[in-house]
Amino acid sequence: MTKRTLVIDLDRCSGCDSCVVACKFENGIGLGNYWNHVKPVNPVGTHPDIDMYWVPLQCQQCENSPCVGVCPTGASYRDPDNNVVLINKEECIGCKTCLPACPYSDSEGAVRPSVRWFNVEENVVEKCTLCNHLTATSDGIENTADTTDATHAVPPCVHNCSCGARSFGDLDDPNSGASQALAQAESEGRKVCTIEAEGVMPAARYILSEGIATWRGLGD
Amino acid sequence: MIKTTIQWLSVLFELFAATGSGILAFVGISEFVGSGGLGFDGLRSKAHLGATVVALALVVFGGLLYVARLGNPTQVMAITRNVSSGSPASWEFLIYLLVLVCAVICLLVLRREGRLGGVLSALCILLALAMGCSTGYYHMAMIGTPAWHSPAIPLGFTAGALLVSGFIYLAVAGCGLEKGLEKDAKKSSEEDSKASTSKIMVWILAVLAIATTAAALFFGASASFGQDALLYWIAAPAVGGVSFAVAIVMLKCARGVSRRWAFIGASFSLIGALAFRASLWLVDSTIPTLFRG
Ligand code: SF4
Ligand code: SF4
Ligand code: SF4
Repeated sequence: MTKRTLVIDLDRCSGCDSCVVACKFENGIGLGNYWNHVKPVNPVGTHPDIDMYWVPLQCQQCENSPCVGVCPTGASYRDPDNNVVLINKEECIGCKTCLPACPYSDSEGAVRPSVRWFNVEENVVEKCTLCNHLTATSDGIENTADTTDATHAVPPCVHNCSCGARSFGDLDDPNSGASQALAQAESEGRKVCTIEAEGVMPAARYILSEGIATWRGLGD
Repeated sequence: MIKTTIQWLSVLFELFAATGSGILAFVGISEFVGSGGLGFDGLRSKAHLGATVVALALVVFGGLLYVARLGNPTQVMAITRNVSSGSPASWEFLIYLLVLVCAVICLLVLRREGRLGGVLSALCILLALAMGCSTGYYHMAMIGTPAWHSPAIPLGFTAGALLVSGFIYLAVAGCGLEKGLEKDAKKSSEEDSKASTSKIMVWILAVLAIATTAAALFFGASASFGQDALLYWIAAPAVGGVSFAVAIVMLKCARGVSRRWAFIGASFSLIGALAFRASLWLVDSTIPTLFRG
C-alpha cells in the first residue's frame, strides 16, 4: 500500500506563501479559494528567545480518511493505483457532508486554514490532490534537467518552494523524495511531527528542530 | 477569522423531515391506543387525514430544502445511485425517501379506508424513530468534529422532533375532532369532549419533553460553546422544559386537549428543536477551534 504525501521542513519554511501561489497557479484555483495555507504558529517567549514557526497545511492524506467514508456519492475516493485521497469533481454534489468529517476543515469549507475548500462557483468541494495529474507515477525525486519527466515529477508547490522546505513521495518507498527527506532529518536528530487528530493517522510529516522551535502543532 | 457557520438548509431539512415523519407516527400511535373511545368513526379519520396532509407537506418541504442545499435537483440522483455507500448522508436520505413514500401511502389509505391499520401504523412509528436517529447519526459519524460523538444527539434529535410532531398532531387532529364534536350535538357532552383528547398522547409528549431536555443537558455538559454558551443554555434545554410544562397543563385541563395549548407546545418545542440542532454547529472542537472567530 503506498502512502504518498508531502514532507515539510519547518526549519526551512519562511512563511513566504510561494507554495500557495504555485498551487493556485497550477490548479486554477479561484480568487479567495485555497487548497493549502501557510499558518503562522504565533510567537511565544520574550525577545530575543522567540519561539515561532509556520505550518503549511493542506490535505494530510489520512490513512483513515473520514472524508471518503462519509461521502454519499463516492466523489471522495482513493486513487486505486496509488492510494491518494482525491475528489472527483464530476461526482461531487456540493452536499458538504465531508466538511465536518475532516478534522482539518471548517464546516463550510470557507475559512482558512481549512484543507477542504468549497468552490461556490462550481458547487463542489476541492482540496490538495498532491497534483496527482502530474505525479501519479513519480518517485518524488525531481529531475531538474527535465521537469516534464513524469517518473520524477514533483508538485509545483514543492518545485517552487523558495526555501526548499517541501518534499514529496511515498513514505513506504525508502527511496522516495519524502522518505529520503525524513531519513536525513532523523539522522541529524531533528524531530519528525504529525498533526494528529481524532485517530485519522495523517500521512503528512513536518520536520522541526528543538533548536528552532518547540512543536506546538497548529498552535492555539 | 470569521465564525464557523451553521448549515441552515441541512438543519431545517433534518428537522422538517423528522417532524413530518413524527406526525405520521402519532397518527399510528393513535390507531394503536385508541382515542378515548371515539373509535374509528368518520370524525377521527378526517382528523387523521388532516394530520397526514400536514405531515406530507412538512416532508416535501424538507425535501425541497435538501434540493436547495445541493443547488440542483439532478444532484439528488447522485445520492440515490450511491445509496448503498454506507455514508451517514446516504442513510439519512434513504430513510427520508421511505418516509416520503410512506406519507403518500398513508394519505391514499386514509382516504380510501379511513384508517391506517396495524402494519402501516407500526411502519410509521418505526420510520419516525429511524428518521430522527439517522439525522442524529449523521452528526455522530463526523470524525472531524469530536464534540458530536455523543449519543445525546440522536436521542435529542429523535425526541425533539417527535415532541414537535406530537403537539402539531394534537393541534391539527385535536382541532378537527373538536370542531366535528361541536357540530354533532349528540357527541358534544363533556364526556365526548374529554374523549377528543388522547391523554396517552399528552403523557407521551411529557416523556418526550423530559428526554429532549435530558439530551440537551447531557450534550451541553460535554460540549463547549464559547461565546454562544448563553444562547445554548437558554434555548435548547429551557424550551424542552416549557414543553413539559405545557404537557402538564394539558393533562390538568378538565376539557382535555386545547388547541391553543397544543399550538403553544408546538411553537416552543419547535424553537427548542431548532436551537438544539443549530447550536451543534457552534461547538468548539479540538482542531476546528482554529476556525472559530
Ligand atoms: S485531511 Fe481531511 S481531506 Fe485530507 S484525507 Fe484527511 S480527512 Fe480527508
Ligand atoms: S461535498 Fe462532494 S466530496 Fe463532499 S461529501 Fe458531498 S459529494 Fe462528497
Ligand atoms: S501538491 Fe499540488 S495541490 Fe497539493 S498543495 Fe501542492 S501544488 Fe497544491
